[in-house]
Amino acid sequence: MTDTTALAADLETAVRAVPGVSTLYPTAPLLATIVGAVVDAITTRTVSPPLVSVSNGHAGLSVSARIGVADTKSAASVSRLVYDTIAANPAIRAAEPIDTISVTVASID
Amino acid sequence: MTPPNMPDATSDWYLSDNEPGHLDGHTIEELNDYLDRGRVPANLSIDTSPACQIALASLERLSSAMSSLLQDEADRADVRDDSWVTAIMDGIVRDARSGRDIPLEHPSPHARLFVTEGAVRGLVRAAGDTVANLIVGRCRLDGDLATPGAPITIAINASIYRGESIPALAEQLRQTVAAALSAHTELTIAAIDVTIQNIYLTRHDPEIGQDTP
Amino acid sequence: MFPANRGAAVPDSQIRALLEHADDRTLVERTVDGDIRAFEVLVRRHGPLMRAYATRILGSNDEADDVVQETFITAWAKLPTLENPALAKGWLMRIVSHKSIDRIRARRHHSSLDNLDVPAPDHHSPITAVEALSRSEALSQVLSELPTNQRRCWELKEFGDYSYAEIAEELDLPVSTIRGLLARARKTLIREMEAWR
Repeated sequence: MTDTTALAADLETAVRAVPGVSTLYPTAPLLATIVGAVVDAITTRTVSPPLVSVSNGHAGLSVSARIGVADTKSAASVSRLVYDTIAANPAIRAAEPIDTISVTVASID
Repeated sequence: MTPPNMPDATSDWYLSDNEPGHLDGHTIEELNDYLDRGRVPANLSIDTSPACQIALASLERLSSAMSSLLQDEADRADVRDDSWVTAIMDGIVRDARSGRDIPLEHPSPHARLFVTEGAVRGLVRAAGDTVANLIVGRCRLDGDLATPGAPITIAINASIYRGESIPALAEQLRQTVAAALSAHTELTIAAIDVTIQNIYLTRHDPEIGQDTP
Repeated sequence: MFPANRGAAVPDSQIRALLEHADDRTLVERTVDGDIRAFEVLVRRHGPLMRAYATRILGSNDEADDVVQETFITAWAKLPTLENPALAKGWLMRIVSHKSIDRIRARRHHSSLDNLDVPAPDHHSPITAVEALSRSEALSQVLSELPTNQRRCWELKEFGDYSYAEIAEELDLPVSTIRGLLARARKTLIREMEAWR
């Protein structure tokens, strides 16, 4: 059993360090939570969920990240670089089987 | 000296309970509806009555006063801090309009790589914003985005400033967008259609006094 | 691969200036496509008028702020359903209206429609004292001295561009009553306006 919380934090640091990654977005659908949270968005921002999500399914470990890419790098190559970085993480390599590693470019700017 | 309830054309309808007596048989309600209808179809009895014309003028004055009232209040409101805008904008998260996921190639069977449709639209806008004298509006991606290699048509609405050459700007926009798309995505672009939807009459002067290269 | 003008992106301030110059239709289209900056320009462009309107309907600045915020959150979510993006302003005013009226309905649990909320200004100044004021200020004062129901109908009609039937629906009153309330409001406003003029 993998400690997904620690792993998520570890991966977040690694993904942020990938050249060309400008932002990490939460992976959960947000619109529903925004509407309730907006009025006191500023005060309630203390607790933030992990930005790289790691979950254990019957087919193995799934990792997903939503990233913003700086305009100066190719978004497609940055997404591959992020994939490679996640796949090369020692904890991921140890945590067989891997189901999927998803990387979604949500903004380019 | 006018006895009560006798029509008196010299006093004003709005001081009386007997509107028709002051308005040549019409009520102010009728006149108001007439005005709301744009005075069509023309009503000769109203149009030839001096009292009605005066009342219509009052109604129009009121209407014009009303239409500036709210704007005046908005303009007069304290210039407060920006927190109300911040509170709104903080709630609007950028990936709320991500649209479809467009796959990116990767040899690993575990890899699920995507760029969102929203990111691509943002890319198109940002590219378009580098073209001087043009503002990009809507951007649509038409085609099967889920299938790598499927032909995609990009449809862009844009506005330009009067006096600029539409074909030249459209071509410049096409080239800039095509370059950005090929740099960042793996889309197979069949066409970039540009629709000029508006021509601004006044020129925008950037506050920072330098031209876009 | 990367054309020179891609790397050197247009400065943020310049894009903002560009967007401030854009028409509503362009801003709405960009907002629908997910452009937050375009949305912010819409917020700044129409927010103050919406706030003035909500303040009129609700009689409270704080509540008006809440309503305007809620309106823009709704607008962000619903803008893709707006058929004619050029009509954004009226559409936003309509949402602000609905939300303001909803608040008033919520207050109704505590009071009857006639004596609810919005305390009349304590200064019932004679119209002569008003002469120094601008036309708008004078009119605003006359408006604020109307009975609540008359004033509310009038504001929905004039500022919210509601039809008689729509006002009737919003306020749960018969159309004939709305007609009567509007007629009385109109007469009072014209009388005061002509006297002041």
